[in-house]
Amino acid sequence: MLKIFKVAIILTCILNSVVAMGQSTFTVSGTVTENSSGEVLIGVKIKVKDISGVGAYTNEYGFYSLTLKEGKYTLEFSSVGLEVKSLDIDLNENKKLNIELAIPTKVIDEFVVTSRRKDENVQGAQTGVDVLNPKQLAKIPVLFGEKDIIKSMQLTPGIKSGGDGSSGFFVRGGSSDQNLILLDEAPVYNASHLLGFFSTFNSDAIKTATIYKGTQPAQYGGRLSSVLDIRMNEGNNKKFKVSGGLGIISSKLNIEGPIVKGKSSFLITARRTYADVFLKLSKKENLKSSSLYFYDVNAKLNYKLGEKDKLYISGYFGRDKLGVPSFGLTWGNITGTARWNHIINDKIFSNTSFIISNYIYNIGIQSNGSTISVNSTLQDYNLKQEFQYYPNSRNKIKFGVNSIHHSITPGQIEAGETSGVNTILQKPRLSLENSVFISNEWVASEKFNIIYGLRGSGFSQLGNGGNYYTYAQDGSVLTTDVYATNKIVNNYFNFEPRITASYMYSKTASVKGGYSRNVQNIHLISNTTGDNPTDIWIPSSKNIKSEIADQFSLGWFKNFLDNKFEVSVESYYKSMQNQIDYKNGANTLANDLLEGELLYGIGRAYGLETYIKKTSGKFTGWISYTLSRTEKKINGINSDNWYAAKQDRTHDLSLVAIYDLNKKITISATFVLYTGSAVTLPSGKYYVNNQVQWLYTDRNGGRMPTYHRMDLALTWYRKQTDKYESSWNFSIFNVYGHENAYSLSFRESADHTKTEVVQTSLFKMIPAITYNFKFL
Amino acid sequence: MKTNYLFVSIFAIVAVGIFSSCTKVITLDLKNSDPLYVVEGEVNKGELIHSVNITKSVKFSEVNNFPAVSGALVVLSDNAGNSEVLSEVSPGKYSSSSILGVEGRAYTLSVKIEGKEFVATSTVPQQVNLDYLYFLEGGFGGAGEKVPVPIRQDPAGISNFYRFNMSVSRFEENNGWENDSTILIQDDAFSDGLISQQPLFGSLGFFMPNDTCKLTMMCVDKNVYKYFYSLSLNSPNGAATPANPVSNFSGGCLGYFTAQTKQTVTVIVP
Repeated sequence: MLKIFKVAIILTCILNSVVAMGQSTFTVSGTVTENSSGEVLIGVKIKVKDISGVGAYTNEYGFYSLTLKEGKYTLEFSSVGLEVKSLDIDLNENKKLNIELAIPTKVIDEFVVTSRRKDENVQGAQTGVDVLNPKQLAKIPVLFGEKDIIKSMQLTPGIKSGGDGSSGFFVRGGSSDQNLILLDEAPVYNASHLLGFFSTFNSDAIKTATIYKGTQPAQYGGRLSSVLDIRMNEGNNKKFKVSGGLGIISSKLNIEGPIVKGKSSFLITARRTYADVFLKLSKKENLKSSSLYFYDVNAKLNYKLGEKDKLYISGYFGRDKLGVPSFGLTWGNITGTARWNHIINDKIFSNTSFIISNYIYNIGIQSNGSTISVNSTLQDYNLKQEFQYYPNSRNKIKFGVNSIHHSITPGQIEAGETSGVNTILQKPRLSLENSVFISNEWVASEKFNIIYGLRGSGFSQLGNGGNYYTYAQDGSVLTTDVYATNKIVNNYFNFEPRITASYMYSKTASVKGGYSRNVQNIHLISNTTGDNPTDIWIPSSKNIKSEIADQFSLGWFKNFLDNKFEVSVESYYKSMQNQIDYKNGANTLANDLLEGELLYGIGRAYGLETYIKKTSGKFTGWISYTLSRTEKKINGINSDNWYAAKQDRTHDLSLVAIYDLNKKITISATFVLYTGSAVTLPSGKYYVNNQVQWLYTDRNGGRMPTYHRMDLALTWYRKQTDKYESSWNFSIFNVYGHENAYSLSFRESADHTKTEVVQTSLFKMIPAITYNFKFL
Repeated sequence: MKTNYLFVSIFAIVAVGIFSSCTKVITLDLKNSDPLYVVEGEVNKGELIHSVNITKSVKFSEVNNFPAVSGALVVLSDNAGNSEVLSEVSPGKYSSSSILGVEGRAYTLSVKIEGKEFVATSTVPQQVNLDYLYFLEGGFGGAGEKVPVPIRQDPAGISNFYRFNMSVSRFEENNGWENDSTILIQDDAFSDGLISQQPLFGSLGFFMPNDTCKLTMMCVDKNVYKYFYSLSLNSPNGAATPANPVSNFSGGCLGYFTAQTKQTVTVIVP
């Protein structure tokens, strides 16, 4: 693979020099913004009308650069839901061209449902990528009427839901901790609220969400299966605006506006749920005095320092609280990102980011008049420098470095004197993750696009003055070493080549293929059903090796009827090394010798994803169907044979239909159906400890019942004035009330003749209503 | 301290409470495995008569009638040189008569059936006294609802493991003894050397004044604790992946063998 990579670099260099040898070239560069809010626009297509196949896209900060031979050109700027702008330029010198794109009319804006540029799915070299815009999600029905980008994303192929009551998602056979979730570049370690019923992302604060499920661009790394890159809105730098929503379970408010008009802006979005209000209605005494809520705040500031420099500061703060008498649990994320964009020259763009990620949980227990508190902290400091170099119209080179310092304090106990529990403080586990990357996006010809890159990633576990163990086969401690703080305990280094290419064999059809290697060095160890806020992340160590995944993917993309219909078929094969599982009966809670409870092995996942989408007209929507298999082979489980991973789903079908009845009313429906997850079910029973116990033979040898559900929604846009607009959203989750299994349990039947299987389900039919408003 | 379990139970209570969750009986196609031997053996400190039960597992769909296994060669020995072949006192029940349970002594149980041999070793740990049974009011419960707390002075510097059997005779109902079906275990991982105050909250739920509580506390060794801990993970709100508990028997049978201390108190709830 590396050889191919080298050859590709050499080829590019040769090609670059050929292009450069002709007549003199000039560069046109600038920033594209939306004219009413001043928000920079990501992924705007800039097409050179005179040369087919040549163009550029704006980057994550709205910047573009296009180098062409001297001459006269027509440039066309286009983006989803915005008016196309054409400009004639006479390129006889380097030019700076900042563009503003306008929303055509307010009403039409609301009706835009295409998620991508018209033919983007066929054209780009990137495989397995989906860009989601929160505006489009507004019409899709959701649980409790709470728009949720992570939940809606699960309706697209290759991305599978963790089930009711879980925000976890599985991408192409990966487990949920193998997804890198970034909010303004800051990794979010627990993306769920309310024990998984909601995700941490307030869709009102989100500009775009891009998910890479296939070959990830080289600037991303650290997780095996996918990258979900979420970018927050910046805030309107022209006008002050207030908007919000009132729902049955939560309300939110969004305030944005200029600080200095046209130069700087701010945005604050806050949300609070009040599920616990319903608890007060309960007849049960202990439920009445319980609390259960979350709140989160997104804030962003940006400042134009000059023509060439821009500063962004953004942050997220979220907390969940769950309390019953004498017991309380708080958990949440904090992220902070400071970014400095600098345009070095019209061909080189630089971004420097300093990022903080923090995740904590705290359990408070009242015992005998004093408090026991169990708390855990994960703290990252992250520095990233990235350059984007646009040498000519056919190449876009990205390179940079990234360094992350992780400090993870697993559950430590602080206890009052009379509590009957000892205070047990834990030293933070320290580690350092360094990486360098380079990639090139090369338009080889009008038909052939290729993106190739290489990432080198290093991981060092650092000493903390405490004990570092190695373990024998049976889990007993083999060696114990003490390492001084910041002394290197062990190192891992991996090369991660990535390549993806597309060939357009007709104007509306292409084939794409890719290969990538991904490496993961921090791992989530979980032994419970659903998302548990107290699950812990642990770094690669003497015992835990870097997880490695190699993915091959191949796809066919075709658009029909003037791009009205998009069809794609993608297949993938992924092989994974150094996968982690735990021993039967492992104690994952506050266990100093946790690594002795782990087992290691390999995994493989393969599948076929089909997608038919109607992107324009009154009726839009899609059908997505995935056929797949995910298996593990872990030493010490199921006699070392291959077995189905928890997230293995043979069939997974999603249907989304959105119909614009008229300019005011939109109705939508979704239907999902998938094979139940692989679970361990009893294969017999026996009598021990004066009770009937279940006999288990194979891990994950059984299946939960098939899951299916239909949701409906109606959105009603009220009359708009210059100052105010509003809409009502009515939705019904699980319309026909199918009881989907959340967990299974077993009991003796009332007549004592047999054992029954009892399923518990979380949600029957749930109606919801939300009122959204906007002061303009 | 089983915080995790506590947390998960609370999650379940809350989820069940708010989200109108519902349960129903379903039919599921389950595999049937071949029957396995189940051995349950106990050696108690200060006693001479120790019993071993041997049964077989049955199919999931069958009636709860677990066949007793007769004709096994059951040998109990200790590391002080004593050994005895247990006699079958009733079908599937084997009993010793001359081996004394002594603190600190290791006992080995060997069972031979139809060409198979299952062997387990367990050591009687240092006895920790159950000083008294305290009833804690408040916490999750309402007025008058109490939870039993076994008070004991945990010895410092060594790991101690405890297992409990609990039953109640309700004053109001007068239905006789009702057993707690939860696996009740505690260790001193977080309370080494302290006067332990961990409550026992199982399937019996809360106790009311004038109820009679019978509690047996057993000090067990690490492997036996591991057996019961892993068995407890199979509760509906426990681990995502249930599994057979980690047995201290070699040879592939189900069950456990424990050498332990045992102390029983009967208390009328104040």
